[in-house]
Parts: sequence; C-alpha cells; structure tokens
Amino acid sequence: MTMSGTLPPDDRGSDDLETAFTALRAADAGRAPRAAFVETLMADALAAQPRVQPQVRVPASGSRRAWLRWPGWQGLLACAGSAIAGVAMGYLAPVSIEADARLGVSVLVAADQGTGAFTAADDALAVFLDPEAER
Amino acid sequence: MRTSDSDARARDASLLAAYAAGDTVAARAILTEQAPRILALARRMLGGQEAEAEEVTQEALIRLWRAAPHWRAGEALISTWLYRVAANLCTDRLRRRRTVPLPEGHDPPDDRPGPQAGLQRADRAAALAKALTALPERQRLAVVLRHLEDRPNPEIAQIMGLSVEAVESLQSRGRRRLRQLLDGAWPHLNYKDD
Repeated sequence: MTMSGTLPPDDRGSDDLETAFTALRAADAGRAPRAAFVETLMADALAAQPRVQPQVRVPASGSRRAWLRWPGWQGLLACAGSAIAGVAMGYLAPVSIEADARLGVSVLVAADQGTGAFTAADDALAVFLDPEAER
Repeated sequence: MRTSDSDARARDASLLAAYAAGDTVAARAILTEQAPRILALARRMLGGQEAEAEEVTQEALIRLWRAAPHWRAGEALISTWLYRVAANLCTDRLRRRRTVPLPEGHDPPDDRPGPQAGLQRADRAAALAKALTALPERQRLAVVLRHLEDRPNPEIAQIMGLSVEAVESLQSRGRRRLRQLLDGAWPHLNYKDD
C-alpha cells in the first residue's frame, strides 16, 4: 500500500488474477494422471528397486544358509517357487525353508550335502536370483 | 526448522529407505503423492504438452528411485527435490524447443472449450493457462509453484536455487506480465459480473 492509500501497480486487480488462478487450480485438480501412466511409473519403480545380492554363509554348525531375496510379495512368491524347484531338481536339500515378505526365502542347506552340493546350490541360487536367466 | 517440516523430511526419508529395502507399498505411496504434483508442474511449464509432461514426470521419478538408497535423512523433502529435478528437465526441453523453429502458422495448443461452451470458469482457466506459456521460464516457474502448486516462497527459493527476494521479484514481474497479457481477455470473461 502506498502513502496515498492506493495499491501498487502489481497488486491492482489481484482479485481478477486470483480468480483465474483459482479456476486453473480447480481445472488442474480434475486432471489426475492416467491410470496406465501411473502403472508405468510403478513398473519403473520396481525395475529400479535395488536387488539384494544373495547371501551365502557357513554357520559354525556346518550347515549352510542362503538367502534368495527379491522385493515384495511377488518376489517372495518367485523366490519360494525357485526354492521348491531347486529342491525338486536336487540342487538344494534344505533342512528348512523360511519365508518372509521383506527378506524373501531363506534356505538352509544341510552340512552333510558336501562341497559339491554347496557348489550346485550356489549355481542354482545364482540362476534363480537372476530373473533374466529364468526366462 | 519447523517441527512439521522436520517431521515431513523424516517421513520422506523413511519412505525412501523402505522403498530401497524392497517395500513396494512405499513406492506406491510416494507415487500417489508426488506424481500428480510433478505432472501438473510439467504441464504448466511445457504449455500443456501432455506427452512431454509425462516424460518429464517419468524421468524425474526414475532419478528419485536411483537416489533412494543414498537419500540422507533430513536433507530435503521429496517434493522439493522432485520439483527441482522436474523444473530443470522442463527448462532443458524448452531450450531445445527454441533451436527447432516451429512450423509456420503454428499456434500453441489451446484447450479452451470454445466460445459456445459458455463456461466462464473454464474460459478463465484456459486464458490464464495460455498466458502462462508466454512468460519467461523462470517467471513462469516461480508463479506456477506459488499460485498453482501452493508452495511457500522459501521452498520455491530452494527449488530454483535463488534467494526468497529474487523469487518474489520474479513472481511480481510474472503477475504484472500476466495482467498485461490478460488485459484484453478480462472483459470477454465477464469478471465484472462476479
């Protein structure tokens, strides 16, 4: 406000401009992203999600535990499927299979399977952990 | 720093950490909140070119996903970070456009409903949308973030890498220019009848 009580030039007619902004905001609010576009963005998000590398270790007991980790429930199902396939094909002889939505599937390989079994298990896990290799 | 702002940063960092740890629900939550904002900004900056606006939104979000594992708690709001990336992507595109001459007779797209529609409100929105495309990029960005995206000026200053005073100056010049551009349109849009 100037000394004379008149609005500075920039603020004159601000009601008109504000009305137009309000109208444009309302128009924008009604323009949600296309559903197909949102799904594309979601697919990008999943594709960019960091994949945790398989962890294989030999506990003191001599058994061996390997983790198959893919993100989310879809990953969990894929991991579970891979683990069961691994057992069926004789690659893995798990003492136990544990499933967890965040961690995927944990496969415990018995110590008495011998080194050859561990190597076979590693190869199988490497294949199962690489979605491209499964196709 | 205000507590609410601090809380929002902590929440953002937590969401991104969850995403990086494999949580798809976190990814969906971020998308639902951020995608419409970024798309709206890109639409306004690029003059209603929907395909280009979607490309900018997609690229900005892909960069966010890549940054997620390295996101430091409390550093920035996801929205501020995304606005900045999207604004830069829009600027790149607008600069590239300048080097490609538009075909003769080209007119920027006008999504007004037409004179027969009689929808004053839509006409006003369309007239303003068209006028915004005539603003210089930085004025447009400052005005859109303030008046359409409702961001506070300190955040706009962060997004644009400017001082708050510089942002206010851009907005002031932008509004003045918009009035000049719309001067001829006001009477037809029957503002005086309100």
